[in-house]
Amino acid sequence: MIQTRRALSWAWIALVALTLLSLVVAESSGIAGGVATVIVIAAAAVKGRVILVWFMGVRWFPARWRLFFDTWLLVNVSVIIGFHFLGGM
Amino acid sequence: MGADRLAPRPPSLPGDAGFWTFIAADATLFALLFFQFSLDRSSHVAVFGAGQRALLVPLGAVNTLVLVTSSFLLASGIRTAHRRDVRRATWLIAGTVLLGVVFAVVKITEYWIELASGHTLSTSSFFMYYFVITGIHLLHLIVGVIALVIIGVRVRRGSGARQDRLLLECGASYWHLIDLLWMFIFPLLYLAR
Repeated sequence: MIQTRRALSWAWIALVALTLLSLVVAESSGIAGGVATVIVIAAAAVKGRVILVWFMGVRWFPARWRLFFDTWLLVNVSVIIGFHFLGGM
Repeated sequence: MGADRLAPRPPSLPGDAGFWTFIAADATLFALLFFQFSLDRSSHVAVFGAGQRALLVPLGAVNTLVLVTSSFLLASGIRTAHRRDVRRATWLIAGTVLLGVVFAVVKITEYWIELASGHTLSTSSFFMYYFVITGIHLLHLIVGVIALVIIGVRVRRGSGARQDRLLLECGASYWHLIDLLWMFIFPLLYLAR
């Protein structure tokens, strides 16, 4: 669970950068709604992975717990994007 | 260094293993809320779109930055506590608590603005989900703030007992879960078009 200071700082920078990217994409009128949704939800998944790996230390978890959180992220992204396409974006 | 490579640390969960069952159940509950929201949105795209346009994206964005920064401070606090630097660890936990309070104040301000604009739980299914999902999340955050205050006081006493370290790791894991959930709540409610 213990990370180096540099690793934690990079994780924080990545989280801030992905948040700003999501904002720019979502607020941009030049990007179609469907594309914007895929990008912001994918960015959420990457941010989730950063939190799990660098802040929660999931890489040191037993295999079944790593599998649970990887599945949780994947299913969240797939279902949210899937339903968005189903309803039209 | 070579010995470290030959004998890697066995996989283990930070904090109490039973607590992780609670975290997994909580994460699953929120995932089900996200799915139900997305399913209902697929049937009422116009209603959900109108509701989303009424939300205050800048406040949601500020809270996202506040929460990721709080998680960074707490992860740094855990690192510092393991190095037995009690004073610095206490300050980092206090910083996390302060940012947690900032998140709550911004969220309550947002609720106040939405309610003053006539948006309530019964306005539309979008606002029902908005208040329920963010409300449950806010309750989690308030519990997290209280837990971190208690943990911070124990760390400051600096007994270094195994139980205190366990409590600190459980508290940090719970706080990171709150952050992880918000990473999906923000784009789902505010950004996804």
